[in-house]
Amino acid sequence: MSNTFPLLDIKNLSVEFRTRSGVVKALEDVSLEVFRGEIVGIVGESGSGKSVSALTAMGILDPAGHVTAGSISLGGLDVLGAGEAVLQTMRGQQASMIFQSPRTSLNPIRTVGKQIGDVLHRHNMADRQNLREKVIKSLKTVRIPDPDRRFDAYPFELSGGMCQRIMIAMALACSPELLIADEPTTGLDVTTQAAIMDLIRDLSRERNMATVLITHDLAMAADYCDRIIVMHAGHVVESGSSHDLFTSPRHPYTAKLMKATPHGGGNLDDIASIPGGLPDLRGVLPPCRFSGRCERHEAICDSSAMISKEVSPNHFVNCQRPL
Amino acid sequence: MSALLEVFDLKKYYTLGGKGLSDGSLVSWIRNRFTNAPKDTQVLHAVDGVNFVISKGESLGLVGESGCGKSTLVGMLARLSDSTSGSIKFAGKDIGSVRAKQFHAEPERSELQIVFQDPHESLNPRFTAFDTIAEPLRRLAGLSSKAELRARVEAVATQVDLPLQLLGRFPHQLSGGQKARVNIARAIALSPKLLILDEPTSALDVSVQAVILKLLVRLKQELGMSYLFVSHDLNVVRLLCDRVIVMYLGQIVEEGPAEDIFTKPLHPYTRALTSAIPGHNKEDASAFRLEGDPLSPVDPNPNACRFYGRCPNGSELCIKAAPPKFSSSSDHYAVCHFPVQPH
Ligand SMILES: Nc1ncnc2c1ncn2[C@@H]1O[C@H](COP(=O)(O)OP(=O)(O)OP(=O)(O)O)[C@@H](O)[C@H]1O
Ligand SMILES: Nc1ncnc2c1ncn2[C@@H]1O[C@H](COP(=O)(O)OP(=O)(O)OP(=O)(O)O)[C@@H](O)[C@H]1O
Ligand code: SF4
Ligand SMILES: [Mg+2]
Ligand SMILES: [Mg+2]
Repeated sequence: MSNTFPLLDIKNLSVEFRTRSGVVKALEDVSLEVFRGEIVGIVGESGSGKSVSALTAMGILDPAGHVTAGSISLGGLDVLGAGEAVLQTMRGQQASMIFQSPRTSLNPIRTVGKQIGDVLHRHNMADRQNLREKVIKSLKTVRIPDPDRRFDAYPFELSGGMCQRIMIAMALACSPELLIADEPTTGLDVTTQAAIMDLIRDLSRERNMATVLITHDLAMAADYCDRIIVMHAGHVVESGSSHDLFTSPRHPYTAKLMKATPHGGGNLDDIASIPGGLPDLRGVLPPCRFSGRCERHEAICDSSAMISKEVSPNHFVNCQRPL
Repeated sequence: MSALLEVFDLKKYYTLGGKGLSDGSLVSWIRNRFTNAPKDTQVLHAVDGVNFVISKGESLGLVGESGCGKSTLVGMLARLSDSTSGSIKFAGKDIGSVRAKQFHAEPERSELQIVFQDPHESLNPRFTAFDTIAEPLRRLAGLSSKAELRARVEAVATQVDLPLQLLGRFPHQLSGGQKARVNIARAIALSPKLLILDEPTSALDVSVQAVILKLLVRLKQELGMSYLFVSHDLNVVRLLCDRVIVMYLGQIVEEGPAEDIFTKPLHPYTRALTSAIPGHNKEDASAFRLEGDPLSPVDPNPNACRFYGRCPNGSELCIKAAPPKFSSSSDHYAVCHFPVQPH
């Protein structure tokens, strides 16, 4: 497979939600490319549009949501133009998603073994005879202790972290070309997190799988992602290689996010919260949606439309006065 | 410092069998024993002989692999579920023998409060912030006069920096950080002596987390509470806790002062854990990555170390004899045949 064009290519995507209390401008001009064999991280605060971007790429946007501009191509398929039947095949065979909140995504009255079996069956990955064996193998890959017995467990019998791993097993069961992992390791201890992230990384290398990793753990993104995009209030504010972003963040928001993250051995006074919250996405919004919280804000930030600046090769910042 | 909570040989077993699951209670034991349940009943040792003490004013961190029994342990301490055996003493009184269902009638109920994992899921969607905070005051403190109740709720909201105009809002009208504050306000409304926090910040953004952590530190100083702090975020545990206990498959494998646990771990599991913290020295991290499959918590071999098979230090002895307690100082121990050598 050639690696000259991205497997997932989101271009200038804008999404709105029409709600009773007004139109929520959830995404504006969001672009994202993911190549095979690459892990791209999306980081940003709650409500910044990470999940909406992912759901739109999978063609499962909430009915209240409307794409108002942009295009999405997944392995050449025009996701926004495709019909439901085509999208369903795409979701089965090409792309898989690990959803946030695993407990609510699992069926509470079906054993976890059967639920994984259903996925394998649906994608013709196993027949009756070897189904159990295959399910147990996939439970093993996500390090569920005693997989043989856990096959018959119901979700309530498992800890939060184990439900999480079941969800991951289901997403990986059908060997997708694109994996979108929305907070895949939240609620897991760091050794299990490392094991699962190592597994995802190995799969992207070995199977040339493209991966989107949505997380609010910056340190984890730094460890595993080749590239990272930082979102704030529906905008991409900065993107670049993990190394560039962490060694020299240029957007004031990225720098603040890093300051807010506890580091080993530090002191509670060393971490600083980010003042204010996300702006209300229903009103009239300024060109820079961070301006209300930004210490570097000046008149120029409000006057001209935002343009993306390439501050160093492949390192882009959407800010009038970058650091 | 005097002891506030003393936990002795605490166990929680779940029986797995053809009759479905049971909670290890006498009733289900009898049911399993005298009905046609299959003979090969299996027992899952969720918490298996745990001992520790929390002193007044101290914050103790509880860390360990997902599924190692932290929430189960915390559920027994908060008297939300019954233990299979062992004792729990709170301020000198044996509260472990009070059935979980009866505990609400005990005076200790108001002195021991818990904040759950996810502020988004643990708030009642039909309760306003005011109702949520007022509920334990009505139920347990018998505050019935409207004026008294309002005064107390507002005082608590102020303590956690929750703007009073938000008290009339429902959970879906609050941000994650505001919900976390409501949750904490509810828990401290009765001025508890011990606050148990089961991953209080894991669902929060870093930007909000910083504020909540500072709030917790301030509240502890102002109110003199003790904390039992369960978290997967080891950097946060290190910031907040005086001492840390590390669990593995239902048992405590190490206990010590927080700084020592992070800088001088004794147990091979603790070393694997601390070196897997994201963003840490990477060479170190891959050197102690755990290989192999975890042993089963079902009917574990009592004469073996449960970490065997994944442990880089493990040898034949580890599956022949239960590992002994090894102390490196009066307040730091690990349970292991071959603890990590300090260098
Ligand atoms: N179905 C919906 N109806 C109305 N607004 C919505 C809907 N889904 C999402 N939104 C809004 O779109 C914005 C982006 O939400 P999104 O779920 O993508 O955030 P996120 O970055 O994934 O946050 P988190 O870290 O909390 O998961 C938010 O303002 C959210 O309120
Ligand atoms: N009702 C139940 N029936 C049978 N087994 C159970 C039940 N509840 C919990 N367990 C088992 O007890 C063990 C401990 O679970 P617990 O929820 O305490 O873990 P935890 O340490 O809190 O994990 P996490 O970090 O993922 O929240 C697990 O093996 C789990 O599968
Ligand atoms: S007792 Fe043996 S197997 Fe267990 S942790 Fe120590 S060295 Fe490892
Ligand atoms: Mg999301
Ligand atoms: Mg738990």
